[in-house]
Amino acid sequence: MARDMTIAALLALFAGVLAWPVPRLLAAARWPHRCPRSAIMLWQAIGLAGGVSALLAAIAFTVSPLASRTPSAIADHVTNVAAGEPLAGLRWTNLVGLALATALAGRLFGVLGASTAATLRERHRHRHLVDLAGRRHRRHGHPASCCLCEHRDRAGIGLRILDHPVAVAYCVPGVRQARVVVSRGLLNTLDAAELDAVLAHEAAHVAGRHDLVIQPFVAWERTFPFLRPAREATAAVSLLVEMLADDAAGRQTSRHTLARALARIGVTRTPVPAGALGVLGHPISSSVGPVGVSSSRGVTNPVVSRIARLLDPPRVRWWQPLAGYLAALVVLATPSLIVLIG
Amino acid sequence: MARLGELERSVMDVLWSSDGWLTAREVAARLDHERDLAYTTVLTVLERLERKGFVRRQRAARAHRYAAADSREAVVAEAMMEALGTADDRGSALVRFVGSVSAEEAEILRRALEADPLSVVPPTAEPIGTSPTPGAAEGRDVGSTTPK
Repeated sequence: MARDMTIAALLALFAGVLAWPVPRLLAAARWPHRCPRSAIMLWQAIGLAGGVSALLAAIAFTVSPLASRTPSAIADHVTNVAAGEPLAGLRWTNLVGLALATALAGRLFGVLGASTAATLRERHRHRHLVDLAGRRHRRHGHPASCCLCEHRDRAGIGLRILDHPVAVAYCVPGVRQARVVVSRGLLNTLDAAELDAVLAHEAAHVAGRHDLVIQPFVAWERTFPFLRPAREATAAVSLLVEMLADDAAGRQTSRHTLARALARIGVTRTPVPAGALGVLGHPISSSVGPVGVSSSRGVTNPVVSRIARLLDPPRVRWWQPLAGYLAALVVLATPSLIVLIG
Repeated sequence: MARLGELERSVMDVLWSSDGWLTAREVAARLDHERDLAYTTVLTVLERLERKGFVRRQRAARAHRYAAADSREAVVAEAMMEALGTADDRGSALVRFVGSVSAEEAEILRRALEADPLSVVPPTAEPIGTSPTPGAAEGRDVGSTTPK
């Protein structure tokens, strides 16, 4: 029994490590920008394994009086439940633990469900707005090689144009109802090649179902809004997803063009009066060139780090993505290993 | 379903392009659809739109009259507000191309655009060299002010 309590403690410890220090370290790390796909996998493994460990810890604690090894204790408990005596052999401290664990699990799944439902509702409503008020792109009256036309014909994605001076581009994800929305401000800001790159970026979001990647992390953040790692995780995963779409668009069009599009849109977001030029501590000398974007003190803004990454693609060694996947696998396997071996 | 969405949009277009209140029959008459739509179909669409809050109804003795609840600009503005969003609902319903940018960061971007040597532009992107976009022109304007 004492050994069983150790297993519960180990699982709880592992869940704690995955809930606080690990996400904080991973959110601050630079290597995920080199291989976003495997880093996203690692983030997902951390989230999943953290939840599973916490639940397993509670279960192991609850059933600990039944047998010396957790798997057989769980089996015994299942037998008891089947026999109609779910509380047989359990002490009241175990039951308190179970109640707490159930409450936690209920909140986790409840918020996940509620937040997903809210997201779907907001998305549906927004799709309705852009469908009613947005304009369609028409074929006539412009050159044959129009990337809006080309984009309009892509399967399953409706293109909508909002008549608004602020430059935005975004996608409303969906199974067969996805929309890519651009504003008139965007069409006025970007040239044809830049627009093509932006549309390729949005198409990559839709095709990759990146909304599904982000959704659990948003739910996690909403479950524990007071936990800093939860916020950082959502921000980190959102950025990695943008980088995935950047890479896809960069392969189809040009990384340089996409970077310029990003910079142009970023500039329009906050109009800076010319007098505010000196605000920056150490201005970037123009001789540094485009790469100078990354030379500001600690790149924090997602847009800035994406541009830097597009212009100066990180060198990826063959083992780096592999190490990411391997780490994800180890993290995922650890809770079961603790239960089985411990 | 897609047909219905298309119809809703056409009806809204009619309401947005007319000033006053319209009866369902007037709306049906102004729809330029490939085929004539039954008056009852238009009525159904109007009722759907009213339920969703896009259309207002004025009760009248013989036929109800309808108008758009908000102007097209207001609906576009609502969508834009959601699209530009705040940090709270980041990434939830929409996937944005560019989030918020601080003044300082915008300045970094401005510099990068300014420093961007056009010669580096790959040959596929000819339009940039020939006709500078508003953004590029803006970048040059800022560049003429010498930073400290």
